[in-house]
Amino acid sequence: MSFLAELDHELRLAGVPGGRRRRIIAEFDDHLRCDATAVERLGDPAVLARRFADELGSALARRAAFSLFVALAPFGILFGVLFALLGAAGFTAGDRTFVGPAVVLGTQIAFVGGTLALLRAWRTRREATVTAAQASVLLRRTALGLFGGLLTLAGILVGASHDPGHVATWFAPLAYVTAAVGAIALGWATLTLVHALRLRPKAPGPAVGDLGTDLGRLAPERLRSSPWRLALVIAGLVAICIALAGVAQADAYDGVARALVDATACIAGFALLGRPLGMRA
Amino acid sequence: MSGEPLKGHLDGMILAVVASAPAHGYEVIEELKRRSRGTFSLPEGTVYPALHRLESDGLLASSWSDGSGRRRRVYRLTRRGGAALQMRRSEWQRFSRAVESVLA
Repeated sequence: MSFLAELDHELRLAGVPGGRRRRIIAEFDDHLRCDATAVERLGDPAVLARRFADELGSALARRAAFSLFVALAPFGILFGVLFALLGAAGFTAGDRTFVGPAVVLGTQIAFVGGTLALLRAWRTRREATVTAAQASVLLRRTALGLFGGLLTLAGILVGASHDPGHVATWFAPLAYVTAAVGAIALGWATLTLVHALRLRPKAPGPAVGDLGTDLGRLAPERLRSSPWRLALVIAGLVAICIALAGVAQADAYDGVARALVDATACIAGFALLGRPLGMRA
Repeated sequence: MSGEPLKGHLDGMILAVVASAPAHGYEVIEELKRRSRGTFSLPEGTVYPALHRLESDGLLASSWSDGSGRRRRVYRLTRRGGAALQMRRSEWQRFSRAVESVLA
């Protein structure tokens, strides 16, 4: 079997997709045309194929995480504008249709998943290859953020289609524009995630890192070594912010109730998803 | 010199070579050998996965060229790649100065 045929076979075994494989073979073919004696110096085809899978898989996993964050940013900004305009559009406290459970849950899941994916991708950005376990953590975080974004998108569409009757006429078109921007951005993020899922690194080893190492200098030094303590502090801060927002809206009781629910959800989420998302050992 | 000592520096060296002029894989490898005066004896094939990864990370861009009658993938530095190269250069200078002052 010639070097190129063997390399093609090994790339196929390593899971390198067809288009990429053809490009690699064309590049090595050109290399051998430049210097036919180079075949000895190119290296073992099986090792090369694994290296392609590991390096490209690592880069694609990071790219999926960065793409998700870039996709969520314009969607999040537009959603923020939409949310800020609820009062001006004529929504009252009794109109629960627009900000339904899908929007409430979706925005929080998107924020947490997107941020966690970005933090891990940023921390590993200089690593030529990450382990298979590390890539899985990156992809799970990205998938979670994407799920949150899609849930928010669905919530916006449902909310915009249920007009309570007294809402300004410009609100529904604005909500649909937000949903359209979100659909395009999240569609692109989904494609990059699918690409990353198709070519994953195979390098053995653990997914080094936890919530403390991901946050780095953003977290106080003495909390970094204890992910559980850090998660409790974050849940506490979230609760305080929500309670204060309730006080600012002259509904302290509702604020405190929502703060308790959110803090409990934070801790439950950390307990359930902490390991699969690489936040704790 | 091969393997471990090169680990972590290959990306910077590839970016530096491509920063001088757009190049295809074989040219990059030959230029690495020429500039290092043959000091680095890494398996030549390992440069290609690094080129593909650097492109995926947005530090390089590539396109097919038929200029010389052969279809070749030519790599060029992106703006982000230029910034990354600058950063790696200053990190290396800081590191080498520190090692130099300890060893001297």
